[in-house]
Amino acid sequence: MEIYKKSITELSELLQRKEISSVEMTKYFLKRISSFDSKLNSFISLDENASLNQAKLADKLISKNKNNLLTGIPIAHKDLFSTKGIKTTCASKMLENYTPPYNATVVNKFAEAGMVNIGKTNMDEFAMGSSNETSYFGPVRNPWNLKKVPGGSSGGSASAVAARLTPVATGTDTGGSIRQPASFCGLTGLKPTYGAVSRYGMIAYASSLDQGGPIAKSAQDCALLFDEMKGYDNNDPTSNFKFNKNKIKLNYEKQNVKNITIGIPKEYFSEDLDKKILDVLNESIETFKKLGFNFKEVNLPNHDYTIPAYYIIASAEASSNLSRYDGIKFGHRCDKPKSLEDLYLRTRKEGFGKEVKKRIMIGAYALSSGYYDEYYMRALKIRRIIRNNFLEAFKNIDFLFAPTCPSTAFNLGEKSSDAVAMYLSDIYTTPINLAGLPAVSIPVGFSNSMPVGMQIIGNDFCEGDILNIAHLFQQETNWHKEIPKEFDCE
Amino acid sequence: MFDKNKVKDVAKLAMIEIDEKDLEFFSQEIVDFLKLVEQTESLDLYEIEPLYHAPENTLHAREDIVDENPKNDGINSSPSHNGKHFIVPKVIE
Repeated sequence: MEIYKKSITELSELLQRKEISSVEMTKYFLKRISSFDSKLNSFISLDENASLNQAKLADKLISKNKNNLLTGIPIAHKDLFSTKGIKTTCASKMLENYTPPYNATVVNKFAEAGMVNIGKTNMDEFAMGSSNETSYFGPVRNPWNLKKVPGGSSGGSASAVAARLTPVATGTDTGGSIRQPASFCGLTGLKPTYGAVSRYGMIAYASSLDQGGPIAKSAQDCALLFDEMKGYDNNDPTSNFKFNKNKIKLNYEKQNVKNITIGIPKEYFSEDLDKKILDVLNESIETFKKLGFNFKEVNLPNHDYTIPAYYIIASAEASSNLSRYDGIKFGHRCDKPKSLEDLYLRTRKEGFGKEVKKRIMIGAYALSSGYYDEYYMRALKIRRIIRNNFLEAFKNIDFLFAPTCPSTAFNLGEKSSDAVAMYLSDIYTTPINLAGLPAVSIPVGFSNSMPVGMQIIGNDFCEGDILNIAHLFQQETNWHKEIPKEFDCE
Repeated sequence: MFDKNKVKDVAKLAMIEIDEKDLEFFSQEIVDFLKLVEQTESLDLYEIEPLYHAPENTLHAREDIVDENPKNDGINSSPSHNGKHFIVPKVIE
Protein backbone atom coordinates (compact mmCIF):
# COMPACT_ATOMS: atom_id res chain seq x y z
CA MET A 1 0.00 0.00 0.00
CA GLU A 2 3.12 2.21 0.34
CA ILE A 3 1.56 4.09 3.24
CA TYR A 4 4.77 6.05 3.84
CA LYS A 5 4.26 7.98 0.58
CA LYS A 6 0.75 9.15 1.34
CA SER A 7 -0.53 12.62 2.12
CA ILE A 8 -2.77 13.49 5.08
CA THR A 9 -5.83 13.42 2.81
CA GLU A 10 -4.90 10.00 1.41
CA LEU A 11 -4.16 8.57 4.88
CA SER A 12 -7.45 9.95 6.15
CA GLU A 13 -9.32 8.28 3.29
CA LEU A 14 -7.71 4.92 4.16
CA LEU A 15 -8.81 5.35 7.78
CA GLN A 16 -12.30 6.44 6.75
CA ARG A 17 -12.71 3.45 4.44
CA LYS A 18 -11.45 1.18 7.28
CA GLU A 19 -8.69 -0.15 5.04
CA ILE A 20 -6.37 0.45 7.95
CA SER A 21 -6.93 1.42 11.58
CA SER A 22 -5.08 4.20 13.36
CA VAL A 23 -3.46 1.57 15.62
CA GLU A 24 -2.14 -0.27 12.52
CA MET A 25 -0.97 2.98 10.95
CA THR A 26 0.80 4.01 14.17
CA LYS A 27 2.50 0.59 14.43
CA TYR A 28 3.54 0.90 10.77
CA PHE A 29 5.32 4.22 11.37
CA LEU A 30 6.79 3.06 14.72
CA LYS A 31 8.27 0.09 12.80
CA ARG A 32 9.77 2.44 10.22
CA ILE A 33 11.31 4.47 13.05
CA SER A 34 12.76 1.32 14.62
CA SER A 35 14.12 0.14 11.22
CA PHE A 36 15.59 3.41 9.97
CA ASP A 37 16.22 5.89 12.75
CA SER A 38 19.53 4.38 13.85
CA LYS A 39 20.92 5.93 10.64
CA LEU A 40 19.38 9.35 11.27
CA ASN A 41 19.02 9.96 15.04
CA SER A 42 15.93 12.04 14.30
CA PHE A 43 14.01 11.10 17.47
CA ILE A 44 14.92 11.75 21.10
CA SER A 45 11.97 10.06 22.83
CA LEU A 46 9.36 7.53 21.84
CA ASP A 47 6.49 6.41 24.06
CA GLU A 48 4.90 3.57 22.12
CA ASN A 49 2.21 2.87 24.72
CA ALA A 50 1.10 6.50 24.83
CA SER A 51 1.06 6.63 21.00
CA LEU A 52 -0.98 3.43 20.71
CA ASN A 53 -3.43 4.62 23.38
CA GLN A 54 -4.00 7.82 21.36
CA ALA A 55 -4.46 5.67 18.24
CA LYS A 56 -7.07 3.53 20.01
CA LEU A 57 -8.99 6.68 20.95
CA ALA A 58 -8.78 7.85 17.34
CA ASP A 59 -10.16 4.53 16.11
CA LYS A 60 -13.12 4.94 18.47
CA LEU A 61 -13.79 8.43 17.08
CA ILE A 62 -13.61 7.09 13.52
CA SER A 63 -15.98 4.20 14.31
CA LYS A 64 -18.50 6.73 15.69
CA ASN A 65 -18.01 9.07 12.71
CA LYS A 66 -16.79 11.77 15.09
CA ASN A 67 -13.52 12.18 13.24
CA ASN A 68 -12.06 14.94 11.11
CA LEU A 69 -9.41 14.83 8.40
CA LEU A 70 -6.54 14.68 10.93
CA THR A 71 -7.99 12.04 13.26
CA GLY A 72 -5.84 8.94 13.62
CA ILE A 73 -2.84 10.31 11.71
CA PRO A 74 0.59 10.24 13.40
CA ILE A 75 2.50 13.47 13.98
CA ALA A 76 5.96 13.97 15.53
CA HIS A 77 6.59 16.94 17.80
CA LYS A 78 9.85 18.86 18.02
CA ASP A 79 11.19 18.18 21.51
CA LEU A 80 10.57 21.73 22.71
CA PHE A 81 6.78 21.38 22.66
CA SER A 82 5.79 20.47 26.21
CA THR A 83 4.05 17.10 26.38
CA LYS A 84 2.35 16.12 29.64
CA GLY A 85 3.89 12.95 31.04
CA ILE A 86 6.38 12.63 28.15
CA LYS A 87 9.97 13.86 28.47
CA THR A 88 10.64 17.23 26.84
CA THR A 89 14.37 17.82 26.72
CA CYS A 90 14.94 20.69 24.25
CA ALA A 91 17.94 18.51 23.30
CA SER A 92 19.78 19.76 26.39
CA LYS A 93 21.43 18.03 29.33
CA MET A 94 19.70 20.74 31.38
CA LEU A 95 16.30 19.13 30.65
CA GLU A 96 17.48 15.55 30.05
CA ASN A 97 15.06 14.17 32.64
CA TYR A 98 12.35 16.84 32.57
CA THR A 99 8.75 15.68 32.17
CA PRO A 100 6.34 18.62 31.82
CA PRO A 101 3.15 18.68 33.92
CA TYR A 102 1.13 20.18 31.04
CA ASN A 103 0.76 20.16 27.26
CA ALA A 104 1.70 22.97 24.90
CA THR A 105 -1.39 24.50 23.25
CA VAL A 106 -0.24 23.16 19.87
CA VAL A 107 0.11 19.63 21.30
CA ASN A 108 -3.36 19.90 22.86
CA LYS A 109 -4.91 21.11 19.62
CA PHE A 110 -3.54 18.19 17.62
CA ALA A 111 -4.51 15.72 20.35
CA GLU A 112 -8.05 17.14 20.42
CA ALA A 113 -8.22 16.68 16.65
CA GLY A 114 -7.38 13.01 17.26
CA MET A 115 -3.82 13.03 15.93
CA VAL A 116 -1.34 10.53 17.36
CA ASN A 117 1.90 11.84 18.90
CA ILE A 118 4.40 9.34 17.45
CA GLY A 119 7.46 10.76 19.23
CA LYS A 120 9.61 13.75 20.10
CA THR A 121 12.17 14.84 17.53
CA ASN A 122 15.80 15.84 17.89
CA MET A 123 16.85 19.47 17.47
CA ASP A 124 19.65 21.91 18.17
CA GLU A 125 20.00 22.52 21.92
CA PHE A 126 17.36 25.08 22.94
CA ALA A 127 16.81 25.65 19.18
CA MET A 128 20.19 27.41 18.94
CA GLY A 129 21.76 26.19 15.74
CA SER A 130 21.39 25.77 12.00
CA SER A 131 22.69 22.21 11.58
CA ASN A 132 21.30 20.09 14.42
CA GLU A 133 24.88 19.52 15.60
CA THR A 134 24.45 21.24 18.99
CA SER A 135 22.03 18.59 20.33
CA TYR A 136 23.11 16.94 23.60
CA PHE A 137 21.72 13.72 22.08
CA GLY A 138 24.03 13.81 19.08
CA PRO A 139 23.71 15.19 15.56
CA VAL A 140 20.90 14.30 13.16
CA ARG A 141 21.74 13.15 9.63
CA ASN A 142 20.17 14.15 6.34
CA PRO A 143 18.31 11.25 4.65
CA TRP A 144 19.44 12.53 1.22
CA ASN A 145 23.09 12.05 2.20
CA LEU A 146 24.00 10.69 5.62
CA LYS A 147 27.26 12.67 5.67
CA LYS A 148 25.32 15.92 5.54
CA VAL A 149 23.37 17.91 8.13
CA PRO A 150 19.56 18.10 7.94
CA GLY A 151 19.62 21.79 8.89
CA GLY A 152 18.38 23.18 12.17
CA SER A 153 17.11 23.75 14.58
CA SER A 154 14.10 21.55 13.64
CA GLY A 155 16.49 19.05 12.03
CA GLY A 156 14.97 15.95 13.64
CA SER A 157 11.47 16.84 12.43
CA ALA A 158 12.71 17.47 8.89
CA SER A 159 14.89 14.35 8.75
CA ALA A 160 12.04 12.18 10.07
CA VAL A 161 9.48 13.50 7.55
CA ALA A 162 11.98 13.31 4.65
CA ALA A 163 12.72 9.64 5.47
CA ARG A 164 8.96 9.10 5.80
CA LEU A 165 9.29 7.94 9.42
CA THR A 166 6.27 10.11 10.22
CA PRO A 167 3.75 11.65 7.81
CA VAL A 168 4.15 15.14 9.31
CA ALA A 169 5.85 17.00 12.17
CA THR A 170 5.85 20.24 14.09
CA GLY A 171 8.79 22.61 14.15
CA THR A 172 9.57 26.07 15.40
CA ASP A 173 11.18 28.92 13.51
CA THR A 174 13.11 31.67 15.31
CA GLY A 175 15.52 32.57 12.50
CA GLY A 176 14.73 29.94 9.86
CA SER A 177 14.50 26.76 11.93
CA ILE A 178 11.51 25.38 10.00
CA ARG A 179 12.34 26.69 6.52
CA GLN A 180 16.07 25.92 6.41
CA PRO A 181 15.75 22.21 7.43
CA ALA A 182 12.71 21.89 5.14
CA SER A 183 14.89 23.24 2.31
CA PHE A 184 17.86 20.95 3.15
CA CYS A 185 15.58 17.88 3.28
CA GLY A 186 13.32 18.55 0.26
CA LEU A 187 10.20 19.38 2.29
CA THR A 188 7.57 22.08 2.65
CA GLY A 189 7.78 24.11 5.87
CA LEU A 190 5.65 27.04 6.97
CA LYS A 191 6.77 29.82 9.33
CA PRO A 192 3.52 31.60 10.23
CA THR A 193 3.03 35.30 11.03
CA TYR A 194 4.27 36.07 14.55
CA GLY A 195 1.30 35.64 16.88
CA ALA A 196 -0.64 33.26 14.61
CA VAL A 197 0.28 30.12 16.56
CA SER A 198 0.30 30.02 20.36
CA ARG A 199 3.71 29.79 21.99
CA TYR A 200 2.23 28.48 25.27
CA GLY A 201 4.21 25.40 26.27
CA MET A 202 6.87 25.96 23.62
CA ILE A 203 10.17 26.16 25.51
CA ALA A 204 11.30 29.72 24.86
CA TYR A 205 14.48 30.72 23.04
CA ALA A 206 13.77 34.24 21.73
CA SER A 207 10.19 35.12 22.59
CA SER A 208 9.68 37.96 20.09
CA LEU A 209 10.81 35.72 17.21
CA ASP A 210 9.82 32.11 18.09
CA GLN A 211 6.89 30.78 16.08
CA GLY A 212 5.60 27.22 15.72
CA GLY A 213 4.61 25.76 12.37
CA PRO A 214 4.28 22.59 10.31
CA ILE A 215 6.91 20.59 8.40
CA ALA A 216 5.34 18.29 5.82
CA LYS A 217 5.68 16.82 2.35
CA SER A 218 3.40 19.33 0.65
CA ALA A 219 1.73 22.72 0.94
CA GLN A 220 -1.60 20.92 1.15
CA ASP A 221 -0.52 19.02 4.28
CA CYS A 222 0.94 22.23 5.74
CA ALA A 223 -2.39 24.01 5.21
CA LEU A 224 -4.31 21.26 7.03
CA LEU A 225 -1.89 21.33 9.97
CA PHE A 226 -1.72 25.12 10.12
CA ASP A 227 -5.53 25.36 10.22
CA GLU A 228 -5.42 23.26 13.38
CA MET A 229 -2.45 25.06 14.98
CA LYS A 230 -3.47 28.68 14.46
CA GLY A 231 -5.73 30.84 16.58
CA TYR A 232 -5.88 33.12 19.57
CA ASP A 233 -4.81 31.63 22.90
CA ASN A 234 -5.52 33.30 26.22
CA ASN A 235 -2.40 31.65 27.64
CA ASP A 236 -0.09 33.48 25.21
CA PRO A 237 -0.14 37.29 25.60
CA THR A 238 1.49 37.71 22.17
CA SER A 239 -1.19 35.61 20.47
CA ASN A 240 -2.92 37.76 17.85
CA PHE A 241 -6.67 38.50 17.87
CA LYS A 242 -6.65 39.66 14.28
CA PHE A 243 -5.96 36.28 12.82
CA ASN A 244 -8.41 34.94 10.25
CA LYS A 245 -10.26 32.01 11.81
CA ASN A 246 -11.53 30.61 8.51
CA LYS A 247 -10.08 27.40 7.14
CA ILE A 248 -7.66 27.84 4.26
CA LYS A 249 -9.14 27.04 0.86
CA LEU A 250 -6.56 25.90 -1.69
CA ASN A 251 -8.53 27.24 -4.62
CA TYR A 252 -6.08 29.30 -6.69
CA GLU A 253 -6.33 28.39 -10.33
CA LYS A 254 -4.07 29.19 -13.25
CA GLN A 255 -6.50 31.66 -14.75
CA ASN A 256 -7.01 33.68 -11.57
CA VAL A 257 -3.34 34.45 -10.77
CA LYS A 258 -2.85 36.94 -13.63
CA ASN A 259 -3.37 39.84 -11.24
CA ILE A 260 -0.75 38.60 -8.79
CA THR A 261 2.68 40.19 -8.91
CA ILE A 262 5.64 38.50 -7.28
CA GLY A 263 8.62 40.59 -6.20
CA ILE A 264 12.15 39.35 -6.81
CA PRO A 265 14.49 41.11 -4.38
CA LYS A 266 17.73 42.04 -6.17
CA GLU A 267 19.72 41.60 -2.97
CA TYR A 268 18.58 37.97 -2.60
CA PHE A 269 19.19 36.85 -6.18
CA SER A 270 22.63 38.43 -6.45
CA GLU A 271 25.94 37.01 -7.64
CA ASP A 272 26.73 36.03 -4.04
CA LEU A 273 24.30 33.14 -4.39
CA ASP A 274 25.66 29.76 -5.52
CA LYS A 275 25.32 29.65 -9.33
CA LYS A 276 23.72 26.19 -9.40
CA ILE A 277 21.14 27.21 -6.79
CA LEU A 278 20.40 30.38 -8.75
CA ASP A 279 19.81 28.29 -11.90
CA VAL A 280 17.38 25.99 -10.04
CA LEU A 281 15.49 28.98 -8.61
CA ASN A 282 15.29 30.70 -12.00
CA GLU A 283 13.96 27.51 -13.57
CA SER A 284 11.19 27.33 -10.95
CA ILE A 285 10.36 31.01 -11.56
CA GLU A 286 9.83 30.10 -15.24
CA THR A 287 7.24 27.52 -14.12
CA PHE A 288 5.48 30.22 -12.07
CA LYS A 289 5.52 32.53 -15.11
CA LYS A 290 3.87 29.80 -17.20
CA LEU A 291 1.20 29.50 -14.50
CA GLY A 292 0.39 33.17 -15.14
CA PHE A 293 2.11 35.03 -12.28
CA ASN A 294 3.69 38.43 -12.99
CA PHE A 295 7.17 39.26 -11.76
CA LYS A 296 8.85 42.50 -10.82
CA GLU A 297 12.30 43.26 -9.45
CA VAL A 298 12.29 44.98 -6.06
CA ASN A 299 14.83 46.26 -3.57
CA LEU A 300 15.19 45.15 0.03
CA PRO A 301 18.01 47.42 1.17
CA ASN A 302 19.74 46.93 4.53
CA HIS A 303 19.68 43.18 4.00
CA ASP A 304 23.33 42.94 5.14
CA TYR A 305 22.45 44.22 8.62
CA THR A 306 19.98 41.44 9.33
CA ILE A 307 22.31 38.79 10.77
CA PRO A 308 23.97 41.04 13.40
CA ALA A 309 20.60 42.49 14.45
CA TYR A 310 19.00 39.04 14.60
CA TYR A 311 21.75 37.46 16.71
CA ILE A 312 21.84 40.39 19.15
CA ILE A 313 18.06 40.33 19.68
CA ALA A 314 17.83 36.52 19.84
CA SER A 315 20.78 36.25 22.23
CA ALA A 316 19.46 39.05 24.46
CA GLU A 317 16.08 37.34 24.75
CA ALA A 318 17.76 33.95 25.26
CA SER A 319 19.87 35.29 28.14
CA SER A 320 16.67 36.44 29.84
CA ASN A 321 14.58 33.33 29.00
CA LEU A 322 17.27 30.85 30.02
CA SER A 323 17.84 32.51 33.38
CA ARG A 324 15.02 30.25 34.62
CA TYR A 325 17.41 27.26 34.49
CA ASP A 326 18.82 27.76 37.96
CA GLY A 327 18.83 24.16 39.23
CA ILE A 328 16.02 24.87 41.69
CA LYS A 329 12.59 24.65 40.10
CA PHE A 330 13.23 22.05 37.38
CA GLY A 331 15.94 20.57 35.24
CA HIS A 332 19.52 19.61 36.05
CA ARG A 333 21.15 20.43 39.41
CA CYS A 334 24.85 20.04 40.16
CA ASP A 335 26.00 17.68 42.91
CA LYS A 336 26.62 18.92 46.45
CA PRO A 337 26.43 22.69 45.94
CA LYS A 338 28.43 24.59 48.56
CA SER A 339 26.28 27.72 48.35
CA LEU A 340 23.39 29.13 46.34
CA GLU A 341 25.80 30.91 44.00
CA ASP A 342 27.83 27.72 43.55
CA LEU A 343 24.57 25.91 42.72
CA TYR A 344 23.71 28.41 39.98
CA LEU A 345 27.21 28.58 38.49
CA ARG A 346 27.91 24.85 38.33
CA THR A 347 24.37 23.81 37.36
CA ARG A 348 24.49 26.13 34.34
CA LYS A 349 28.07 25.13 33.50
CA GLU A 350 27.14 21.44 33.46
CA GLY A 351 23.66 21.77 31.95
CA PHE A 352 24.29 23.98 28.91
CA GLY A 353 26.36 23.22 25.81
CA LYS A 354 28.92 25.64 24.35
CA GLU A 355 26.67 27.33 21.77
CA VAL A 356 23.99 28.01 24.39
CA LYS A 357 26.56 29.38 26.85
CA LYS A 358 27.97 31.66 24.16
CA ARG A 359 24.58 33.08 23.19
CA ILE A 360 23.61 33.64 26.83
CA MET A 361 26.87 35.53 27.34
CA ILE A 362 26.43 37.61 24.16
CA GLY A 363 22.90 38.44 25.33
CA ALA A 364 23.95 39.31 28.87
CA TYR A 365 26.66 41.57 27.42
CA ALA A 366 24.29 43.26 24.95
CA LEU A 367 21.82 43.99 27.74
CA SER A 368 24.38 45.13 30.31
CA SER A 369 24.74 48.67 31.54
CA GLY A 370 26.85 50.73 29.14
CA TYR A 371 26.27 48.41 26.16
CA TYR A 372 22.45 48.30 26.04
CA ASP A 373 22.08 51.26 23.67
CA GLU A 374 25.08 50.31 21.56
CA TYR A 375 23.93 46.75 20.90
CA TYR A 376 20.37 45.88 21.92
CA MET A 377 18.67 49.20 21.16
CA ARG A 378 20.49 49.53 17.81
CA ALA A 379 19.41 45.99 16.87
CA LEU A 380 15.75 46.84 17.65
CA LYS A 381 16.01 49.93 15.43
CA ILE A 382 17.49 47.88 12.60
CA ARG A 383 14.55 45.50 13.02
CA ARG A 384 12.19 48.48 12.40
CA ILE A 385 14.09 49.36 9.20
CA ILE A 386 14.00 45.75 7.96
CA ARG A 387 10.23 45.48 8.52
CA ASN A 388 9.65 48.88 6.89
CA ASN A 389 11.64 47.73 3.84
CA PHE A 390 9.32 44.73 3.47
CA LEU A 391 6.16 46.82 3.96
CA GLU A 392 7.43 49.32 1.38
CA ALA A 393 8.03 46.48 -1.11
CA PHE A 394 4.51 45.12 -0.53
CA LYS A 395 3.06 48.46 -1.75
CA ASN A 396 4.11 47.53 -5.30
CA ILE A 397 3.95 43.73 -5.31
CA ASP A 398 1.80 41.06 -3.64
CA PHE A 399 4.33 38.45 -2.55
CA LEU A 400 8.08 37.93 -2.56
CA PHE A 401 10.23 35.03 -3.65
CA ALA A 402 13.62 34.36 -2.06
CA PRO A 403 16.15 31.56 -1.79
CA THR A 404 15.74 29.71 1.51
CA CYS A 405 19.47 29.11 1.97
CA PRO A 406 22.68 30.24 0.26
CA SER A 407 23.74 26.58 -0.16
CA THR A 408 22.34 23.08 -0.08
CA ALA A 409 22.93 20.96 3.04
CA PHE A 410 26.60 21.09 4.09
CA ASN A 411 28.73 18.29 5.53
CA LEU A 412 28.58 17.40 9.22
CA GLY A 413 31.37 19.29 10.98
CA GLU A 414 31.97 21.59 7.98
CA LYS A 415 30.83 24.78 9.72
CA SER A 416 30.92 23.78 13.38
CA SER A 417 34.30 25.46 13.93
CA ASP A 418 33.27 28.67 12.13
CA ALA A 419 30.33 30.18 13.99
CA VAL A 420 30.05 33.26 11.76
CA ALA A 421 29.84 31.08 8.61
CA MET A 422 27.11 29.07 10.35
CA TYR A 423 25.21 32.26 11.26
CA LEU A 424 25.46 33.53 7.66
CA SER A 425 23.67 30.37 6.45
CA ASP A 426 20.53 32.00 7.90
CA ILE A 427 20.92 35.15 5.81
CA TYR A 428 17.72 34.67 3.75
CA THR A 429 15.50 33.42 6.57
CA THR A 430 16.23 35.74 9.54
CA PRO A 431 14.86 38.94 7.90
CA ILE A 432 11.41 37.36 7.75
CA ASN A 433 11.50 36.59 11.50
CA LEU A 434 12.64 40.13 12.31
CA ALA A 435 9.76 41.47 10.22
CA GLY A 436 7.28 38.98 11.76
CA LEU A 437 6.02 37.90 8.32
CA PRO A 438 4.80 34.50 7.12
CA ALA A 439 6.89 32.47 4.66
CA VAL A 440 6.79 28.96 3.26
CA SER A 441 9.80 27.08 1.91
CA ILE A 442 9.07 24.64 -0.92
CA PRO A 443 11.35 22.21 -2.76
CA VAL A 444 12.07 23.47 -6.29
CA GLY A 445 14.81 21.15 -7.56
CA PHE A 446 18.22 19.67 -6.82
CA SER A 447 21.83 20.83 -6.93
CA ASN A 448 24.53 18.15 -6.67
CA SER A 449 21.85 15.61 -5.72
CA MET A 450 20.73 17.69 -2.71
CA PRO A 451 17.36 19.48 -2.47
CA VAL A 452 17.02 23.24 -3.06
CA GLY A 453 14.30 25.27 -1.36
CA MET A 454 12.64 28.55 -2.24
CA GLN A 455 10.68 30.86 0.03
CA ILE A 456 7.34 32.45 -0.77
CA ILE A 457 6.92 35.41 1.58
CA GLY A 458 3.64 37.18 2.27
CA ASN A 459 2.42 40.20 4.19
CA ASP A 460 1.03 39.72 7.73
CA PHE A 461 -1.58 36.94 7.97
CA CYS A 462 -1.28 35.90 4.30
CA GLU A 463 -0.57 32.23 5.06
CA GLY A 464 -3.55 31.13 2.96
CA ASP A 465 -2.23 32.95 -0.10
CA ILE A 466 1.37 31.77 0.11
CA LEU A 467 0.21 28.18 0.65
CA ASN A 468 -2.09 28.53 -2.38
CA ILE A 469 0.84 29.70 -4.52
CA ALA A 470 2.96 26.79 -3.23
CA HIS A 471 0.12 24.33 -3.88
CA LEU A 472 -0.37 25.56 -7.44
CA PHE A 473 3.35 24.97 -8.11
CA GLN A 474 3.18 21.52 -6.52
CA GLN A 475 0.29 20.56 -8.81
CA GLU A 476 2.55 21.33 -11.78
CA THR A 477 5.78 19.77 -10.46
CA ASN A 478 6.87 16.65 -8.58
CA TRP A 479 9.83 17.93 -6.55
CA HIS A 480 7.83 17.52 -3.31
CA LYS A 481 7.21 13.86 -4.12
CA GLU A 482 10.91 12.94 -4.35
CA ILE A 483 12.03 10.50 -1.64
CA PRO A 484 15.62 9.69 -0.64
CA LYS A 485 16.38 6.27 -2.21
CA GLU A 486 17.59 4.59 0.96
CA PHE A 487 14.23 5.26 2.62
CA ASP A 488 11.95 4.72 -0.38
CA CYS A 489 10.94 1.20 0.62
CA GLU A 490 8.51 -0.53 3.00
CA MET B 1 38.28 44.12 23.41
CA PHE B 2 36.54 40.92 24.41
CA ASP B 3 39.55 39.21 26.03
CA LYS B 4 39.62 36.35 28.53
CA ASN B 5 39.00 38.70 31.46
CA LYS B 6 35.94 40.12 29.74
CA VAL B 7 34.64 36.57 29.21
CA LYS B 8 35.08 35.97 32.97
CA ASP B 9 33.13 39.18 33.78
CA VAL B 10 30.27 38.39 31.42
CA ALA B 11 30.13 34.72 32.49
CA LYS B 12 29.65 35.92 36.06
CA LEU B 13 26.86 38.21 34.89
CA ALA B 14 25.27 35.23 33.11
CA MET B 15 25.84 32.99 36.18
CA ILE B 16 27.78 30.36 34.24
CA GLU B 17 31.09 28.94 35.47
CA ILE B 18 33.58 28.74 32.61
CA ASP B 19 36.68 26.51 32.71
CA GLU B 20 40.01 28.30 32.26
CA LYS B 21 40.71 26.16 29.17
CA ASP B 22 37.51 27.41 27.47
CA LEU B 23 38.11 31.14 27.98
CA GLU B 24 40.13 31.51 24.78
CA PHE B 25 37.42 29.71 22.74
CA PHE B 26 34.64 31.98 23.98
CA SER B 27 36.78 35.09 23.65
CA GLN B 28 37.57 34.32 19.99
CA GLU B 29 33.98 33.35 19.11
CA ILE B 30 32.53 36.51 20.65
CA VAL B 31 35.20 38.74 19.08
CA ASP B 32 34.35 37.25 15.64
CA PHE B 33 30.65 37.90 16.23
CA LEU B 34 31.20 41.48 17.40
CA LYS B 35 33.18 42.17 14.19
CA LEU B 36 30.00 41.26 12.31
CA VAL B 37 28.03 43.67 14.49
CA GLU B 38 30.55 46.46 13.78
CA GLN B 39 29.31 46.48 10.17
CA THR B 40 26.09 48.11 11.37
CA GLU B 41 27.91 51.13 12.80
CA SER B 42 27.62 53.04 9.52
CA LEU B 43 23.80 53.07 9.80
CA ASP B 44 22.23 56.31 11.01
CA LEU B 45 19.50 55.17 13.41
CA TYR B 46 19.00 58.43 15.28
CA GLU B 47 15.34 59.00 14.37
CA ILE B 48 14.29 55.36 14.16
CA GLU B 49 11.99 53.95 16.82
CA PRO B 50 12.91 50.50 18.18
CA LEU B 51 10.64 47.61 17.15
CA TYR B 52 10.18 45.10 19.97
CA HIS B 53 8.04 42.64 18.02
CA ALA B 54 6.17 42.52 14.74
CA PRO B 55 3.35 42.78 13.84
CA GLU B 56 2.82 45.38 16.58
CA ASN B 57 -0.34 44.41 18.39
CA THR B 58 -1.30 45.28 21.93
CA LEU B 59 -0.23 42.60 24.33
CA HIS B 60 -3.10 41.48 26.49
CA ALA B 61 -2.94 40.30 30.06
CA ARG B 62 -5.11 37.83 31.95
CA GLU B 63 -6.99 38.89 35.07
CA ASP B 64 -4.67 38.71 38.08
CA ILE B 65 -6.59 36.03 39.97
CA VAL B 66 -5.08 33.35 42.18
CA ASP B 67 -5.86 29.92 40.73
CA GLU B 68 -7.05 27.85 43.69
CA ASN B 69 -6.62 24.66 41.73
CA PRO B 70 -3.55 25.12 39.55
CA LYS B 71 -3.20 22.66 36.70
CA ASN B 72 0.56 22.97 36.90
CA ASP B 73 1.86 20.74 39.69
CA GLY B 74 5.32 22.03 38.83
CA ILE B 75 6.96 21.45 42.19
CA ASN B 76 7.29 17.76 41.35
CA SER B 77 9.70 18.74 38.57
CA SER B 78 12.17 20.19 41.08
CA PRO B 79 15.39 18.26 41.64
CA SER B 80 14.96 18.83 45.40
CA HIS B 81 11.67 19.57 47.18
CA ASN B 82 9.47 18.42 50.06
CA GLY B 83 6.16 18.59 48.23
CA LYS B 84 5.48 22.18 49.30
CA HIS B 85 8.84 23.92 49.14
CA PHE B 86 11.91 23.94 46.92
CA ILE B 87 15.00 22.92 48.86
CA VAL B 88 18.16 24.95 48.28
CA PRO B 89 21.53 25.19 50.07
CA LYS B 90 21.51 27.28 53.22
CA VAL B 91 21.48 30.99 52.26
CA ILE B 92 21.84 32.60 55.73
CA GLU B 93 24.61 31.32 57.98
